[in-house]
Order: sequence, then C-alpha cells, then structure tokens
Amino acid sequence: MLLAESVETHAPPRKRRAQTRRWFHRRTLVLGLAILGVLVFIAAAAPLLTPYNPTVQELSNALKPPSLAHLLGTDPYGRDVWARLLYAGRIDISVAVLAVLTPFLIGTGLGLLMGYYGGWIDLVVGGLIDLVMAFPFYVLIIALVFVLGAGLQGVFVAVALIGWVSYARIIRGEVLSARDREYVLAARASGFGDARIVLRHVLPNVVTQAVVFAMSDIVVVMVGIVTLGYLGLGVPAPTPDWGSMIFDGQTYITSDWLIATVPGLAVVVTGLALSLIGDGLADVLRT
Amino acid sequence: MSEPLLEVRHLTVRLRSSRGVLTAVREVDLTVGEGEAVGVVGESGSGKTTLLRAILGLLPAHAEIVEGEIIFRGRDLRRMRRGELRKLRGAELAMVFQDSLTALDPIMRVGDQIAEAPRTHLGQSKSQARATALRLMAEVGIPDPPRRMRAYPHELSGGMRQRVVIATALSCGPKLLLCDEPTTALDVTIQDQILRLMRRLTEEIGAGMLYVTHDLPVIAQLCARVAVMYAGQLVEVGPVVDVFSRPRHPYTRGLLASVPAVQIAGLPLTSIPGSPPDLADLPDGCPFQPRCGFAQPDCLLGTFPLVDLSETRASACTHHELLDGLSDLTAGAR
Repeated sequence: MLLAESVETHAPPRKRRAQTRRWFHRRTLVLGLAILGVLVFIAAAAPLLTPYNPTVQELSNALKPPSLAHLLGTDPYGRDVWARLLYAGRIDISVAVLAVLTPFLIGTGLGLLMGYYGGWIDLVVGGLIDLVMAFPFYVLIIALVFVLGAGLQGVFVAVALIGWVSYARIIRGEVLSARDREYVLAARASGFGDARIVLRHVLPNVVTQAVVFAMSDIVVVMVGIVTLGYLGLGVPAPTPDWGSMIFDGQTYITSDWLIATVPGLAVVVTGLALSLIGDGLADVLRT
Repeated sequence: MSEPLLEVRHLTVRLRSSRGVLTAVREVDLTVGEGEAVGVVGESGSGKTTLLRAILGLLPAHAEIVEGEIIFRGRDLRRMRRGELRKLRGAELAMVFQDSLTALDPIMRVGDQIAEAPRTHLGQSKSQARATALRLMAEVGIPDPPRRMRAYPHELSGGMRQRVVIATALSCGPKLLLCDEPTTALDVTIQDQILRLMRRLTEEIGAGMLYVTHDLPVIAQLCARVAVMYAGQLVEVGPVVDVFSRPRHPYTRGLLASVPAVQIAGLPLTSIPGSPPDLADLPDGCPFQPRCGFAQPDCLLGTFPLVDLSETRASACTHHELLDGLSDLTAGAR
C-alpha cells in the first residue's frame, strides 16, 4: 500500500533519480572516468606540477636516480623524466582524441549516406571499406605515415584515412535497420526533406553505437601514436611523447629502468581508463 | 457532385517478393469527397496499407505502381515531381499511423515532433510552432500541454501517444487524412475517445478521411461510405448503412456475420471458413470463391471487377442476388 502510493506520486523524480543511479552504478564507467580525470588534470596542469622544461637538455645532470629535485630522475640527456612524462601525456592524449574525431565525423557521414540511400554510393564506399579492412591496422598506418611523412600531421591524416572505415560500417548497419522504422516513414509522410530526416531523426537514433566504439578506438589510436613515436615516425624528436620516451629509455632498462617503464605504465593506465569508460558507456547506452 | 477530393483510378501495385511478383493492389477505383469519411475494410494482407502508401507515394523499395491514377484536388500525384509531392505530404495530405510507439521518434520531445511540420510547411518560427503545438495538444485532449510537450514518447500512455500522432497529422490543417488503423492498438474505451476526437476534428477543419481498418464497428461509427477489400481488390463499395444492412457480396456478409456488435441478435457468430488467399497463388476466377458459401460453377471463370448496382453501390459478385432476402447472416456459411 505504502509502496504503491510512493510509486504513483513520485513517478517522475523517481525515474530521473533511477537514471542518474544507472549512470553512477556502473563501476567501470565511474572508475574509468576517475582515472582519466586524474590523468587529464595532471597533463593539463603540467606547468604547475613541475618547474622543468621537458625539452631542455642538461647533460651534466644525465641519468640521475629519483630525488626530491627530480621525482623520477633524469634521462640520458639530463631532462627531468616526470616533466617529460606530463608533457608527453598532454600530447598523446589530445592527439589521440583529435585523431579519432576526424574519422568519427567522416565515417558517420558516409555511413549515413550509405545506409539511407544505398545504391551506387553504398557500393563504391563499401568497396573502399573492404579494401581498407583487408590490411592489418598497423601495416597500413605505418605505410601511410611513411608516405605522408613522419610527424603529427602525417599521423593525423593516416589515422583519419583508415579510422573512418569502422564508423562507416557501424553507422551504415544501424541506419539500415532504422530506415524502415515507422518514425522514419512518418517523417517522410510529413513531407520532410531527406537532410532533415537523416540529421534530426536518423542520426540521433543511431549515433550511440559509434560513440561507444569511439571510446575503444581512442585506445587503439593512442597506442598507435605511441607505437609510431617508438618507431621514430610520430611526434618529432625534442617534443616528449611516451613512445619516444620508451625508445630512448630502453637502452638503460637494466640500470635506470624507470625511464622506459614509467611512460610504458602511463600508456597502460590511460588505455585502461579509456577501455573502462568505453565498457561503461556501452552498458549504459545499450540498455 | 463537384470534383472529388481524391480519386483513385484503376490503381495497381505490384510487389517483388522472394516468391515472385505479387499484385498487392489490383485495379482499385475509389473516391473521397471533400470532408467525406470513407472506410476501407479488409483482413491483414488484403492490401489496405499498401493502398495508403501508394497514395502518399511512399511505397517500399520493392513495390511499384504499375497502372492507375491518383487524382488529388485535380492533379495526378503520380505525375508530380518529387519536391512538389513532398510539399503536399504533411501539409494537405497527412497520415495517421497505427502504432504510436513506433511512429514517433523515440528520442525527440513530443512537442518538438508536433511543431516540426508547421515549421517546415507553414514557415512558422520556433515560438509560433511552439504555440501551434500547445494549441493542438489541447485540442486533441492532452492534459497540461506545457508539461507534456516536454515528454518523450515512452513517457506517455498509448492513448496519449496516439493523440500526439493525431496532433502531428493535423498540425498543418490537411485536406485529406489517411488513417492506418490508428485505434487498433488501443483498448476499447480509449479507442472510442480517439474516434470521436478524429471525427470532431476532421469535421472542424473540413478534411476528408480515408480510414483503413479491419474493424467494422469503427467504420460504422466514423464513415459514411465503405469499400471492402479482399486479396488486393475492392469487392464491394457503398454507403455504410446500406452495405452493413444488405451486403451485396458474400465476403462482406461473412465479415459482418463474424462481428459481435454488428451481427444480428440471437444468431450464432460465424467465421469465414478458410483463410485469405496467397497473393502469389490466387485461385481461378473470383478470389473469394474457394471460401464462398454461394459459389456457382461460373465463379471459377473469368475476372470479377466491381460492377455498379446503383448510383451509390457496386459489387464484384455476379451472383449477389443470391443474398437477397436473407436476413440470417449465417446462411450459406459452410
């Protein structure tokens, strides 16, 4: 009796509270957001957290063990490892996010066109997708960066050229099933133009899957950028990057193991945080 | 009578299916006058919905109009350019869908959905369209419109949602309302409210209505004329009162005998034996002949188009005189 009453009278606020609870009861999502929040904060506040410049060499101070002055010691060129770690985080995280944004937009746009119109555009773009999918991700991205030239610009373009494929496939599939729903027919029966139907009725209903995928894609892209940095194809030399830090530090792995291990751990922790967020988001949005 | 609002002439629609080409709508002739409500009755799969979608020019990709004209206010919709037809849809020609849950965009607020067509077709500003939406929601009997317009479809009950669907259809003051069983999914009391509402609103704006359903009592309540559809063809047309009291086709008679509310008191309910024919494999002659209690040898031969019986009535049955004087609706049922 009491229960029934409270359900009746408090239905709307209850629903809203239930929804908020749904978001925060996903431990994976909360944990991932917390870790990423800390990482982003540390990276963004880098100038406040270290007095050192990450690129200035001080050879007399090379390979120092951790101390109060240098929390994680110094690298072979006398640069503070903590400072480089923070500034590298800035670069790697922001580049990964930006590098996912472009293929997300391109892929979503093409996927919408393919799914809604079908026909020749579906055939042509579908063929391109199959072509890109036929190659392993790293083979293709390394080859493209070679052709486009090493450095951030090359990485951006290469990731965009390859990454859109997954988004286009996801969105196309979703649009195909949404296209025949009655609300799309109803929108057509209301005389709306294709652009309005696709952007206001189809896109908002299908974009969830692409957003969920983007979260896990950021991880892949970040690891890709770090890998390119390790191979000397990524962020150019003096600018810190976790990949090039690992490469520079690996020679000293037996004596000064922190130099290579710490950026490696940073990659793992960031990847973990993003994966947790992706899983959590998928749970929340797909139910 | 002046020129009808909608005149469908000899409309034939074919569908490509995995089992070959089917004729879903065969040579249908139908008129709807200004402000007139016409019902189309038929079982599932009789081609009712395909007929509506053909009129709107929104057939699915595997369907095609192969013959016929659809004259709306003096112009053939089939000869119009896509853009022209699009401007008519939603503005002069509006459709009310069966399932309000799927016919509304699940993630758009209902107020925005009602306001969308007036913004597109009438060029209303955001605030004007909002006012239109509020007015329409009040007109269709949604309590507390300012609050409800911010709701999402799943937050409303089925009856409220169907009112929203009707409000979207009426939002631009259409001349013709095409209704695809809009009350089938609702329970009987809500159904009655919605029917009264539709009748009142279409009368107010003087709109014609083409109402497709399998529900005979709904037609009796709402429409002046009725067309009975079987296997993609019209088998009987006439004023509702005449058709329901003196059916001129055995199929109509069978339908009436199977409805408790229409069926004559004291007689047992009967259902039509058998099931509707497979459109890919129609029987010879009259499509209803295998299920018909009055079938004659010549029902197996030739075609059975609608033939005018009087100014207002037509039947596709060549032996309709056999139905004369039968008050017992169960007679002839096997």
